[in-house]
Amino acid sequence: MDQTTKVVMIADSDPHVCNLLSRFLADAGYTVTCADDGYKALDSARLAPPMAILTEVLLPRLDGLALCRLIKSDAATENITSVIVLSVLAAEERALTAGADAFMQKPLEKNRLLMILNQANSKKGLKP
Amino acid sequence: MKHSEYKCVSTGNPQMDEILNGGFPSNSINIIMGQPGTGKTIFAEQMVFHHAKDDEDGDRRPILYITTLSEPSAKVLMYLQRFSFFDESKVGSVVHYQEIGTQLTKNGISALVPFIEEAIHTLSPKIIVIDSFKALHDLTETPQQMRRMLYELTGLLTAYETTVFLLGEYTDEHAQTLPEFAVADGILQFLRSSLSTRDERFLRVLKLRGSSYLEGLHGCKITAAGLDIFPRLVTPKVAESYDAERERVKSGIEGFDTIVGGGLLRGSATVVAGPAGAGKTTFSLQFALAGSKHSERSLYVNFQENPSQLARLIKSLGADLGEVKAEGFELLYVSPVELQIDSIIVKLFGLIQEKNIKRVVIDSISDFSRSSSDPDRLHDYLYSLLQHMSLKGVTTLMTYETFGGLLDDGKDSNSISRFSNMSDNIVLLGLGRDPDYVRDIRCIKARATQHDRRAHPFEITSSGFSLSSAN
Repeated sequence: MDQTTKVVMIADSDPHVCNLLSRFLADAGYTVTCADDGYKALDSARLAPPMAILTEVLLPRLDGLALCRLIKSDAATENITSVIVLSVLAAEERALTAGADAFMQKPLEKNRLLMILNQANSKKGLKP
Repeated sequence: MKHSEYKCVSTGNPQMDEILNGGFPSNSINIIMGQPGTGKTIFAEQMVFHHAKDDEDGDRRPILYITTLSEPSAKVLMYLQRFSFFDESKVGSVVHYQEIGTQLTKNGISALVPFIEEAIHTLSPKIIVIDSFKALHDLTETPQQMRRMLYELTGLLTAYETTVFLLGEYTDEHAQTLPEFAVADGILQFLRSSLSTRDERFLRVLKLRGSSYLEGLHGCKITAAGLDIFPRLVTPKVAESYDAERERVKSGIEGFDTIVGGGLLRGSATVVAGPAGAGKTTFSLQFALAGSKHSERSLYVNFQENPSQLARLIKSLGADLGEVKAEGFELLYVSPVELQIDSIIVKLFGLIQEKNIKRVVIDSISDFSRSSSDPDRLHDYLYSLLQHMSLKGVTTLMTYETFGGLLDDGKDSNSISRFSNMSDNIVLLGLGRDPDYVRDIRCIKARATQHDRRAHPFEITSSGFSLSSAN
């Protein structure tokens, strides 16, 4: 794996969510990048594909489910190990239909987040 | 479409959970309000130590208790040790007390959000208590400053999985004006009112987003075990319907059953009214004691005669308290000085269910009236209680002391007319007049029963009531 192995992109417009996720992930040894709208996240992922993307359903301009579908269908980003959709909504079914590797209902909790991320990565053969 | 699962955070108090329909919504922000000494800190601490128990809720994350500018945590802990729910071993390991008073004094209220953010990072608390949140207003220079801080705080606490309790000495007016009440998902109010020589404590839920709850005032008291809560008794959901084949319950008072069509209807409520000394207690006691003869457990609720006095009274009727207890006679004595309607009714209702009671005597509802600061509340309580008892086939007899006129002096809002509509039968006992003082008994109301409305002379003998000419 290249250096993007430990990079996780957070696509969420809520600064509190970005801040919390960044700290939780940094504690676990990940490098974190942030994007506060769907198109910024897509552009950034195409330029430098991260290992994983955590995206909120209610993302401005391009919503998280559409972002998930585009990531999974774009040759430049299809190798991203996991796309995890986050939401306060019980939108697991829609997230999985959009191609998400996992879904996590908000609010956030560190251990649950890391478990979901590790499980999603393990499915693709990555070690936690 | 899948609906989000609604999770509750238990308060650690089954009665409070009943009021809240399971508990507070998880990941919510709640305000616990009340004047000093109303019990809000005890309530919060009891909940905290409930969740500090090993695997109580499957969430092993710790709990954060932040004190602001009200009391230092050392003082809180000092008094907390007196309660049985307190577990010293959990302090510092599961329950983390942190003071933010110094930072707040130095940097203002903007110190709170970074403090909590850091605590989330280092502790990952499942519950956060801020005591007192109201005190932050004292450090706020402008309302805008408070609103900005609250916006940031709400954003942070909404993003992170935790349930938050903001404690404060808020008044009703604060609840209408302060911004934290707009963002709160739940609001619980503690109240205290003085009644003669004692205080009555109440709590009520003012708001609980996404959940139904039991409205109104609920009695509570502080005990060594924490807060004892008595949910308001409400009318049963299933409306009472009388069986067409109506069973008559034998009163055990010779001659009386003939007056009321063969006995009192099972599940009915009867008021026995009369002045002091008319024989109300003897009449009602005889009714309760007769239960055992008919294989019915009886409960005698008494607020005047203590157990020794009652034992003598029972003996004067030719029975023995120990023997009748063995046959199913239950006695609930409460000193009128300590009478609190909420606790008594919850206790009474619990006994009825637990002991399968079929006859209940409340001697007297006049004492109940005097113990209650709110006649409407008392009326609603008794109505609900009687509906519950009727549904369970419990036949109830309540005594009522009259003054002056036959029924009602018209001045007392707790007068018998208030209880008339909730009772099926009304029996009047008269003391008689000079020169003969002949006592008499009259049934002036017997719902759905052909009854004898005439006055019948009676005597109280060594074997109890003795009616004449009841034919």
